[in-house]
Amino acid sequence: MTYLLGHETYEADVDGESIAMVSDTVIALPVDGEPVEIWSARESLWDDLYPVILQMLEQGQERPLDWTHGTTIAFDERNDRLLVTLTKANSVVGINRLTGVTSWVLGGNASTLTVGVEQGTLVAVPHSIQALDGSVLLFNQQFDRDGEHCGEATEVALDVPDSSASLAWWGREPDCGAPDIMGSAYRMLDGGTLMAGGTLGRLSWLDTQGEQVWRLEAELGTTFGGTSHVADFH
Amino acid sequence: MWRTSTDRGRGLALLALVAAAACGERPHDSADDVLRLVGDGGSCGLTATLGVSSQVVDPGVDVRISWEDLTLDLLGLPLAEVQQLRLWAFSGLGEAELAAGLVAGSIEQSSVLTQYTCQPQAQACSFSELEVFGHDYDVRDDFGVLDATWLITLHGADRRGLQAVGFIQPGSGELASLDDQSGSMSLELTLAPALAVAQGSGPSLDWSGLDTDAQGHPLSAYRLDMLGLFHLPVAIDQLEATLREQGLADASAWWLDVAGRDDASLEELQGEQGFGGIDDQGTWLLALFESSGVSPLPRVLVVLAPQ
Repeated sequence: MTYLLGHETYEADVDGESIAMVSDTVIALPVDGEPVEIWSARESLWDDLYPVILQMLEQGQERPLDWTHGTTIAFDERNDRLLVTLTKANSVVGINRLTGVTSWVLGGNASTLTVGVEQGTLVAVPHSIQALDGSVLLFNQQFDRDGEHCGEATEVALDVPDSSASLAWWGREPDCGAPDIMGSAYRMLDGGTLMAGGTLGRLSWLDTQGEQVWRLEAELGTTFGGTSHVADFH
Repeated sequence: MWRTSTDRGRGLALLALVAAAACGERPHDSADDVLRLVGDGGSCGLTATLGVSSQVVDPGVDVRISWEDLTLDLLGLPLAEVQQLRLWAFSGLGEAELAAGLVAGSIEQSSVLTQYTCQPQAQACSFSELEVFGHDYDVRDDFGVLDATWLITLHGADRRGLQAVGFIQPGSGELASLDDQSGSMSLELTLAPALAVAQGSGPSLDWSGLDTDAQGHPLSAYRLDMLGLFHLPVAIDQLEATLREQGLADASAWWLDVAGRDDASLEELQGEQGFGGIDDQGTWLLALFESSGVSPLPRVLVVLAPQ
């Protein structure tokens, strides 16, 4: 089975007005068979995010209103969940792969996981997610920490039965920037983290302490949307 | 450096090669009629001075960027169809540094604060038509707000690469117009020995062994995606002055899209005039371009010596 991040467009009633909307779906695509929608943000998150939708409309954001803006989907094999980043909702979502039921939401108005007040937010314009053992690694494209606004690799430990989450690790470049578009973080087999800097045109390797080991500065016109591990080249 | 297929084990041919090089002309292997470009490919050295004009436009209005009066690209060749306009905001680089950096290929993406694009329907784009990777961000939220140097670049269809440049600054005015005076480029050529080729349809080319460009930078041959052949009505001893003063304005040009390839036959070239083969009149230049780059210069430029 293949799972795809899709989107749907529709008209929705907002305070008595019909508004053109677009939001994300997860599609199951069998090898032999028709694609089936197993999850949609409209059905799962509408009520919780309704105040955010109103705010976006007040800001005059373009129609159809893209109120979730899904950017990545990943598979959490240990827990048989699909993980989705919803960039505009400032949320990441864990979805039961078999039932399509939302297992947890981290960040934003719909969050089902509680984060200690002292930790602040853990999700800020997320653009990638990777399932790790007991945690997820996010690329937060626009993260404020220690007075710096940057793209950041943020590892969040999840305790779903306890409905809680906490900061496990973070790393960013020494002279970091926040890309306009895209970007990703990927934990490699040796524990290092490879960050793609989106429109900054950078690739950075961070060690387990979050220290930058090396960085590639690409030439003008280059954008690194995402990175992942390839086992072998032949 | 370059080599022919005879390099691979034919001692006598190698001797002939050395002798010919000493005469200033280097033959290709006539055995299989393939000109193999290796190393820097025997490329001439090539740099340029790029002059770019700056215009003042109002950050509060829907500025129209027009190139209706633009007829030539930066090399002096007829303007290609413009496929994309890009508007870049650079941090920490002034206009002079940017112009020099474009030619030298030394600007890094991380100096870009933001970049907008437009796929023009006509010979103009307005601020309201610009987008960022499909997102309808309003450039007026940035222009006049960011501490940046703003550069317009026009990119040609069919892999013709960078065609024109211009700077804009916030001020007053509703139109930015790119014409043949907006950007001017003076080419500085360091002549290398011409590569001998047979008159007529010319050899096949194999550039898989290239690893250095005309500016001495490392080069990946697979990134070369456009082959150009130019015929100038001047003797080779006038070539440097001609390119410095007027670029390729008097050249006949033939092109071939070579994306994904590392070899080609000159017989595949296309131009406004049909390609009738290479003769011993004037000067013939062979160029390989990387159209995805943001430099107006070819990565490799070889002078041919038809025999």
